[in-house]
Amino acid sequence: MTPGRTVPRSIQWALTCCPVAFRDAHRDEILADAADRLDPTRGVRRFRLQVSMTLDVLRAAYRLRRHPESVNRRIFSERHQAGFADSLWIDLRSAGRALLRTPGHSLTIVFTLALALGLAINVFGVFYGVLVQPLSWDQPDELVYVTSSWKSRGVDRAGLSGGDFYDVRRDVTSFDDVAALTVRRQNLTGIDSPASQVYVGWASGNLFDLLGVEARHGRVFRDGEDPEIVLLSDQLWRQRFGADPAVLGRKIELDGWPYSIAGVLPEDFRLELPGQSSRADLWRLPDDRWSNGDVWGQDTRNVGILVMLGRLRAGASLADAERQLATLSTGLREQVPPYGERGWALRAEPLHATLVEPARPLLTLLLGAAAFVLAIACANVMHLVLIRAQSRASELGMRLALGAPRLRLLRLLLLECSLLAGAAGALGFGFAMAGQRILTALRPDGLPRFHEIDLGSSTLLFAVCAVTVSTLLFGLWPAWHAARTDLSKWLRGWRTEGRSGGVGPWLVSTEVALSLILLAGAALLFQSLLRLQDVDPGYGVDDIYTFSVSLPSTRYDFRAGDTGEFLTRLESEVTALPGVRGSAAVWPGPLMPSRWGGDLEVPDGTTSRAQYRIASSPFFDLMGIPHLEGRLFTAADDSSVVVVSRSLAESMWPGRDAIGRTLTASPWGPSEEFEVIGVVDDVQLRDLREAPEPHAYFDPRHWSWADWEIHWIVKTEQPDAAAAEAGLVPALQDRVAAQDPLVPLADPRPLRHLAEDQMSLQRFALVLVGVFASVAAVLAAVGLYGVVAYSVNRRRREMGIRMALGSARSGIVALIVRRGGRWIGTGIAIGLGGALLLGRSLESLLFEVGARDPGTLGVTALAVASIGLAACLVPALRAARVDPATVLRAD
Amino acid sequence: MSRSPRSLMTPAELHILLSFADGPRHGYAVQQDVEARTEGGLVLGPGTLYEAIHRMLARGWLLEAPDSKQGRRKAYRLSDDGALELRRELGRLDRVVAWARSRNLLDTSAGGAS
Repeated sequence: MTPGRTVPRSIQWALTCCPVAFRDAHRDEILADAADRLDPTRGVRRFRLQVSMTLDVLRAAYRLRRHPESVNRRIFSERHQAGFADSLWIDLRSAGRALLRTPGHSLTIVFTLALALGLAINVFGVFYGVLVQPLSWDQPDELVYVTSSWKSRGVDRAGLSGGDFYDVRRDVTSFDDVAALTVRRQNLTGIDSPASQVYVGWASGNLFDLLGVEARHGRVFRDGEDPEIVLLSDQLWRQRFGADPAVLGRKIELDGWPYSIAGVLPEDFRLELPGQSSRADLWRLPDDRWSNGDVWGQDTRNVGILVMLGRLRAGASLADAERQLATLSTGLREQVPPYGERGWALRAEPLHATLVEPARPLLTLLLGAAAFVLAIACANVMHLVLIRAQSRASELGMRLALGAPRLRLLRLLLLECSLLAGAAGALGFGFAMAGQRILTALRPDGLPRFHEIDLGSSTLLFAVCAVTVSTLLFGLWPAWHAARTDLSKWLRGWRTEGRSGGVGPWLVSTEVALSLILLAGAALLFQSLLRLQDVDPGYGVDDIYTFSVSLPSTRYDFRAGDTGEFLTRLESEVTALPGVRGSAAVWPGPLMPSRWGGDLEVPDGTTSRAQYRIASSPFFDLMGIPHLEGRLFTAADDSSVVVVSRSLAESMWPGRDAIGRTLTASPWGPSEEFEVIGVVDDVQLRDLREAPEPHAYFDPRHWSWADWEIHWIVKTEQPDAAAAEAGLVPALQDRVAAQDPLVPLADPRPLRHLAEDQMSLQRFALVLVGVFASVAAVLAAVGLYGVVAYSVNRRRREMGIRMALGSARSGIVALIVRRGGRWIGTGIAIGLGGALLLGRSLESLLFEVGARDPGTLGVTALAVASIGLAACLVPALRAARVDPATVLRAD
Repeated sequence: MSRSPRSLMTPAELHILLSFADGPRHGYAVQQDVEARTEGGLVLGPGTLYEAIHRMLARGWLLEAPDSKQGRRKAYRLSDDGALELRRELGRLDRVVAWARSRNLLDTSAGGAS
């Protein structure tokens, strides 16, 4: 053991990997031992021994580093994990401390991200709850919605008759079962509270079995049961029966017919079928008590108000069902002449897709908008993180110099980012929960399934994914960039790295482009809403009030003219009320969704299609519909007179006088001859978004339906009917009750509200997209300002030299603004392209504005450009005020 | 020092402690001792050996022997704690062996796999 013997270099090198304390204590011993052991060996043995000893020392070094304390576990992988977790914990604490050192900076990042994440989570919650989440029924994928289409009349979805229902049930074997239903309004009496109109679902007995719904109290009904029982909805049970569990067996009356309560449905039971009222307060079984026709007759073909729900047999596909329905349709078209004329065919659609169809464009749009806002926020945050990493150059350089592996540095920086994003995600989830309430409150008519929305586990999962993705979006590049940089550069600091703008210009262009797209969408929606509000329906909506009544056939014999008598009496009573200028009966009421289309034929064989409407004479005057020719209905008229609209008169008798001519129409069922006594102007009475349709008006005094609601309009002397509401409604109620205490007044509301409902989808979309676009614009402006201000700051010295060499202040401003302008210009070009491409997704929500409306896009681009230039101008002006001497001295 | 949760002693540590039970010595002697005792079954590399010694010094099981310097080497001796630790471990092994014997697990192995 002579000192100075050669010890293999590999072992010496392996020793340098050991912790200092260990090396200091045992270096000599290890080297001496190694030399002693190697001494007697030669050749391959020696080499092998050398390698194994080197590896042994390296392994010891590793274990000592991983477990500096005396950890005595044997299993290697356990050690490894413990080590990783330990160092992760150390890094996590280090990252937390670093973030707390700059609280303002960290809070800015967290709030920016939380805002964007909150919007995204909120919208995703709605998107998922409505479009993705399966329906709450049993095996919802098997459910099929069956209606009919009338090809030759251009009707997409029409009701079915009892005969159709029984045929489908019998012949279509792809269905396990088929249920039929419709929702009608009926008068509820026979309970303690005053008479009221309720929505009653008429359903075949198998409906609840088919859906897999059980009663919350009592039982649901089954096929083939005695039809004198009803089920209450949870809502009606609470409102009218005080949530009394003893309600089972109680008697009620619907339109004067007695029923007994058999059960209460669960709270979440709601059937939102297209073309049917989504509200049903009561459910009852098929019977033949409807005076307007036998809805459920096995051979009925002329009363088509049912829709069907089918459940596909296991193994059968929708296509199988469609084939069988088509065969059945062909047979029925031959059997039933009116079906042949209409081009009638049964139509099957998957229930979920059909049900959520109206919501799809809007929700997809909103999800896209939220993603844009999130992307803009990430761009902003990325710039903040970059600046932060650069300002910490010396700290990071020190870590690197002290031997921190680059990967560990990358991990540290990413950890900081994920801490920020995690905090933002938690805060954002809170924002989303608050926003959910606002969103549900703003809920427009016609969006299905909003009551089912719940920020559940899938939303939480989305939140986690969104946080992860945004962390990677804004954190990966700066972290990688920082960890990859040359050590010497680190120590000198990044400031000297050169004058390239780095990633800033790209961020600015992206932000400008994204916010331009959002603002363009918001501007288009705003234009639509403005134009919608400007639609002149040809009548005033402000001073008109509406309500409806329904006369039960048990008390009114419409064949004996009871209905007409009631209407005439009520009309004069209401008109005599103080503050009322007039009232009129009408069906369907103005701006009501109901459609009542029918055929007209003149003796020479010309046929035409028109909207039928029942309207008493004062209706035209009260609504301000110009009376062009002839006269209106009088008391002396019998039932065979009709008033037509101008476009109908022109199409039936072009260039000729329409008055006195006859036409055949079938408002009351069978075809009858009518004499045209008057012509009135065309107005859009149903939907403000559509063009006026040709109309045939009939006299309500000859109303020959019962059990059907009749709408009323009341024109108030006060110009604002909504303001008159408080005094008006009790008076109206009083007048109706004076006529018949068992006939309730229903749906009292100003016509203005109905008009607003028609814009509610546009308004909802505008409010949300507007909020998103404003947030995006603010974020983009702030981001732009930040990038420019930072780049100007980095070039202060250069500015100082330029000015010292005689450059004018205006030249400095121009220099900075020109550069910012280039970035903005790029962004605007990209954004305009994106807006043109993505405009299509907006189309279904727009009204009288093209998705590529050049004016709107141009104005939006100008607005974005000016916001952007303003954001550049502030730092530019500040830079121009720099005193060259100060700047140069500071160096 | 706190030893809970107590994990198992490694075979290397056991054999090193066994060697020190015969008196103070330096690392290389321990290594040769162990190799001889296990008939070449356990050859401690220098890293493993000194890592174990390092840790046991830290735990107070070993102490540096007085005037231990022999050239570049140091001698170490068992502390009272170390001796206790060794007795505990041997007692544990003894109970394991006694149990194995009571289940006739050990006798058959003497005759090999028959």
